[in-house]
Amino acid sequence: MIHIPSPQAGRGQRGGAVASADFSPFPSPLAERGENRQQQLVEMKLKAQLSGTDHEVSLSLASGAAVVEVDGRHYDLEVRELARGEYLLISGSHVYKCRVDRKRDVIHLGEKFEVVLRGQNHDVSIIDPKRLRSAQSSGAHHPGAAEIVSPMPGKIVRVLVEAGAHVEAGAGVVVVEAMKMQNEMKAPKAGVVVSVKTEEGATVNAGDVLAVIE
Amino acid sequence: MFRKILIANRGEIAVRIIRACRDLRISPVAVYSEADAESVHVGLCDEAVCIGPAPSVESYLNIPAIIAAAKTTKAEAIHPGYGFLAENANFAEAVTEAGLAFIGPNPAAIHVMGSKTSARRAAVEAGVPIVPGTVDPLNSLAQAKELAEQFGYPVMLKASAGGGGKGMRLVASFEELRSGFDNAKSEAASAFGDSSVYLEKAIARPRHIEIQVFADSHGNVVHLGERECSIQRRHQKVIEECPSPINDGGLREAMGAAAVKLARAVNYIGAGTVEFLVANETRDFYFLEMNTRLQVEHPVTELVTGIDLVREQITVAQGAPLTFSQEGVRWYGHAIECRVYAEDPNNNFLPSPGRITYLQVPYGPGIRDDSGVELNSEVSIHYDPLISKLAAWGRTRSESIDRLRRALDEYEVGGIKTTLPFFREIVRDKEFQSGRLDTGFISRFNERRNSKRSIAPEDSDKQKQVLPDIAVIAASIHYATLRREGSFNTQSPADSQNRWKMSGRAALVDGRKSMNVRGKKLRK
Repeated sequence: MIHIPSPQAGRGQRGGAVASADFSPFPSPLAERGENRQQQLVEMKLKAQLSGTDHEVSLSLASGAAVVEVDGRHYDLEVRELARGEYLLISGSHVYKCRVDRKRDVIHLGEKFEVVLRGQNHDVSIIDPKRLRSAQSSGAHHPGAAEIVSPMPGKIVRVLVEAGAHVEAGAGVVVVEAMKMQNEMKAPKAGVVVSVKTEEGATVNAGDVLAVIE
Repeated sequence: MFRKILIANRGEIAVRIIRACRDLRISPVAVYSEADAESVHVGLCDEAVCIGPAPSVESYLNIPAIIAAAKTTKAEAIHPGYGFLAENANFAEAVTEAGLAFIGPNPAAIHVMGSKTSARRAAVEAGVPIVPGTVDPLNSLAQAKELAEQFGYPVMLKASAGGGGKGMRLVASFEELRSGFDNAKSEAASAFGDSSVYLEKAIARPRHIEIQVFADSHGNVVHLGERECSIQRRHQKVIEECPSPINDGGLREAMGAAAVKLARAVNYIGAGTVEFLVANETRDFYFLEMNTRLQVEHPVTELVTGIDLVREQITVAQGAPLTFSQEGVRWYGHAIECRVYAEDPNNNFLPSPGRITYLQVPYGPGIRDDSGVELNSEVSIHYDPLISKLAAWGRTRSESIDRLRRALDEYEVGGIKTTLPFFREIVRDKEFQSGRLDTGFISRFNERRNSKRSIAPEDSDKQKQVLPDIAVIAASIHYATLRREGSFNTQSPADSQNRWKMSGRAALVDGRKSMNVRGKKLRK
């Protein structure tokens, strides 16, 4: 059982948002850097999407430690922030060195991250039910919706589905022509095509949402 | 001795050439397109000249701009690297006409080997066996039909001006020949500016084995052994190794002698590679084409022979004799190289441009990485998406595979997709490990891969179930950390920057058109 330290009073304790200008180029564990930040226990319930599968995440994060449940699977972790976005997670004796980057260049629901772990790259979307952006994304989508986004500038040569259609994971949704090649964009999950935001012949830019599947 | 060399290239090969220059205390000069202003190769040079906007045809293929850059910086020689203008006889001529040394063979040799039909003719004249087929371009479908029946189907229809795996199609019957003939000609015309096509017998399960040759201006021509490059995806090499798993000294000697004969026949100078197809069963070898430049996969030859090919290119261009003789060349150990491309292997190898947000390059015994990128490098859509070459050397093939597997697992790249996961699977494949290679390897490998996926994964490896959870946890922790700092509260202009919007970048660098050397205005 990991002891979660109680919030410490004093230095750096303020209400409201904390300025994030305190990134030090010298990596140090969260515990030490806690001096310059609000020391607090963070508790969150989030939804995460990975490879088209949705997960329920319950997170209790304090300096140096985290207690997490993913779909009910329990993890007690030691957490060290080695550098910005670089975490050393230790569960029992198992070591997981993770690199997390926030992806900012697409219109999206929730926040998109790329996690590099043991050489593999994982695209993880985090949806914070408390802070769903309803105004920014065009049309309200439920958490768990998957967007098909154009990865590069190109032209739509074929639209393979209609709004309302049921699709399997891996089914072709839209064909984009770029760099003299035709590329079929596939549904990352099974579901219903909620909307098709493009049409045959349209020119698209990188980051344009082409379709939404729920 | 050259004091200054201009490198007419970019990316990993430019970095490679820069290193050889520095070894020899020669000052390297970079040229760069507007998209490459912050590239690794620029930062490593003493001088750099912007030669045009991002598209290759306006920059790295822009002969006048490159020659002008050499004159402005007073470079004495130009190294063309591979690709771009490396096998362009006009460029070689323009360089020498400008009074500069071209680090490569003479234009005539480039010209002869540049057309597949004249190259085949040269091979025949030099007594080098060629793939049974036409030496001259085909005149008509009727002629093609007659020849195809003579050789026996299947046959390969190939563009005379093609090369590097492009402009070829396999034809299995007359019906396919009839429909494919006109298409092949028009494709060749649009891709290479020359509609000539020729016919070759398609060899069953061929191995692609090539010989590295080197010649100086004193009449010495030496071969440095073979490289096996049978693992190809859509005729593009992805894994290369030296020596070939089927090499016995005899095959190397015979192929080496043939390659040297051909090089002599065209008065070759510098580094070159003679490519052959080798029939797996009979070990008969047939000339395919000759590349009159340094190859991408040269590191595996360097690792096994200990010879620095780029350094040798420079010293030979300076007029020095080769630093090795045929008798003195030694092959020690085994080296295998993987081409790390910015492509998504899970999405039909779709190019994956973007910014590299994380980079962990492997090291350790026997590991070599030739890279043109670093952390924060922008991989652009304008150029070939090769970001690095990872090579592993061991005393035996098995030892080099162990190291390669370990190094591939250690390699981490964030921000773009790469072919690393694909190589991790290949290196664990039994057929690969047994050396059963031929140009059909990848399609058989893909079949094995696809059939494995349709089988439900075993629940035996608990760690495999944990890793996706850990990825979710790491993202959640990072989200919570950013949320706590208030990173989501403001939407600064930097936040909404679209890192794939090259048009935005182009606008930013437009103002630099009249500048060279990283922002210093050119004095008129």
